[in-house]
Amino acid sequence: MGNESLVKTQADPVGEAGKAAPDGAITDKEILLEVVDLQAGYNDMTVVRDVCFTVRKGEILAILGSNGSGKTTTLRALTGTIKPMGGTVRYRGEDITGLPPYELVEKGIAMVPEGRMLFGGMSVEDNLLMGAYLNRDKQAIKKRLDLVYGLFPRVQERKRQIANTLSGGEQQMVAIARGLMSDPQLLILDEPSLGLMPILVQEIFRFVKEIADLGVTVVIVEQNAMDTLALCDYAIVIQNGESVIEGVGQELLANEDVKRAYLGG
Amino acid sequence: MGMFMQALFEGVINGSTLALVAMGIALVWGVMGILSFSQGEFLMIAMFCSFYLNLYFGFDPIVSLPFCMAVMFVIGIAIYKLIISRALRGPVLSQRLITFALSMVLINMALLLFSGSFKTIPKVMISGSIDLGFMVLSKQKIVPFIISVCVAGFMFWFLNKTRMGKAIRAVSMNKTAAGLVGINPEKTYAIAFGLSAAIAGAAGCALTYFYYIYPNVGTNFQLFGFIAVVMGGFGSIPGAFFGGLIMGVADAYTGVYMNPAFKYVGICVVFLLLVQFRPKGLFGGK
Repeated sequence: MGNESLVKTQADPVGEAGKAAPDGAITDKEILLEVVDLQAGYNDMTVVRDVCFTVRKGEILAILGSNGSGKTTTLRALTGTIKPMGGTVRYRGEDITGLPPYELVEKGIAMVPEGRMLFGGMSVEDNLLMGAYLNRDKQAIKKRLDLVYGLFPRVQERKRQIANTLSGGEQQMVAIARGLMSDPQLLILDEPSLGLMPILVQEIFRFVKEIADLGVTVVIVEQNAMDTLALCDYAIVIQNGESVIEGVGQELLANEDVKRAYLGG
Repeated sequence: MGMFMQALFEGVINGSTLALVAMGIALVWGVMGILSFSQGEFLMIAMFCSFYLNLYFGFDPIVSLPFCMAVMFVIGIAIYKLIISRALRGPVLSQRLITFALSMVLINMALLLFSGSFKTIPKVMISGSIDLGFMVLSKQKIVPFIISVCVAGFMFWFLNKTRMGKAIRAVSMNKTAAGLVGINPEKTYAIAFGLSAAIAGAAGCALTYFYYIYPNVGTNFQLFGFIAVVMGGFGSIPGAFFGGLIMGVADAYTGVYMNPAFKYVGICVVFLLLVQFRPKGLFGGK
């Protein structure tokens, strides 16, 4: 494995030192996910040409970019939904490039796909239980379910309802809740605000924050750049399939040039 | 009245076999998007399996049933691994036609191995009939019906209550999401295909109780099984089950009240009418 990932310094108990560093260099936390020179696409068309980023334990990383910039393709390649054409993805120092999604779940990576993708004909609770598919310990599943319900009381209210009949916002909550059921170390959210009205977007973002506070590392892909930058610790911007800019969320938000050029501000 | 009830009985009996064939087709379609044209041939293979077990070991089809199902399950998984999984990586047309080719190969292999002659199991454990006065129930036909209902019940239980069954349903609802919660789709495909072969096997084995056995026996069941699946709502397993029963009954009534020569017309008219008013089938959602 690459030696840079082996350099794990002691995690800062407060977790604030990294964020405070003015040059945006966060070096004091364990690297959870490392994406190097990722290339991916469909058939013979390359969509993602050169994407690099690092996710550190406990942080929220945002991947931003306009429509068609390659955000979703990046995620698909990194979660094994499509085979990457090049580059490497390392998780805790282990090469996981191109592993199918079901093996990633086993390693502690959960993904909440764009467009929710619930099991439409099943009840909300069954959807959540499917999220804990790899866990065979009934007691642990029950505890996990209680925890997730504690986080999403609205989901609990709807637990007997068939997933198809929920509203978009509720479906998104169920999708995130289902992702959490596998007890992931890393939760990847693909456009959770897509198609939701602004007030619900705020609500979803609040949940993301709460999930991060539980100690789950979050990667969030969004078009809604302003809100996401305010939420995340670190952000990268993808344009034309390349990661063109990266930095601490608040700093990017403050930078007028960045806003104008990439974020449609 | 007697005629009416008698035809209903015969129809439900025939329909229950169709129902199992149709359930297999619906399962395979729902899970992996393969149109299983070889379901009738799985039924045929199980019938020969049951016949030879009876011929050489004197097993009653009821006794052979678990064995036939197990054999068909293994054959199904082998066919999935050797043929279907490869076809799934190919173009759509080959996915659609692969099982059609398979069915021809199986029919001709059966002709080669077992010859085209009609065979029957000479003596079964439960025979005779119950005379209700207005109608006569043949015990020999009730047995396959009970078996079909039990197998269908087992299927519903398996799909709704077991871990693997839930995984199969999850894959059929949303393949991508199933992968994302940790389900290995390849494994569920293989199990689902094996299962569909096994239930066709159960239907075939039960059918040998009163039906004759020959290499082309599956063709009609296959065709009407398909119609039953469409009637029930493509991919819906309960729909396929009830679709099969309706087909059987429609078949029996046209035979009795019109003319046996028109019975396929009867089935197709029922089918056309149903699709007119419910284009997505009985249980077809959205």
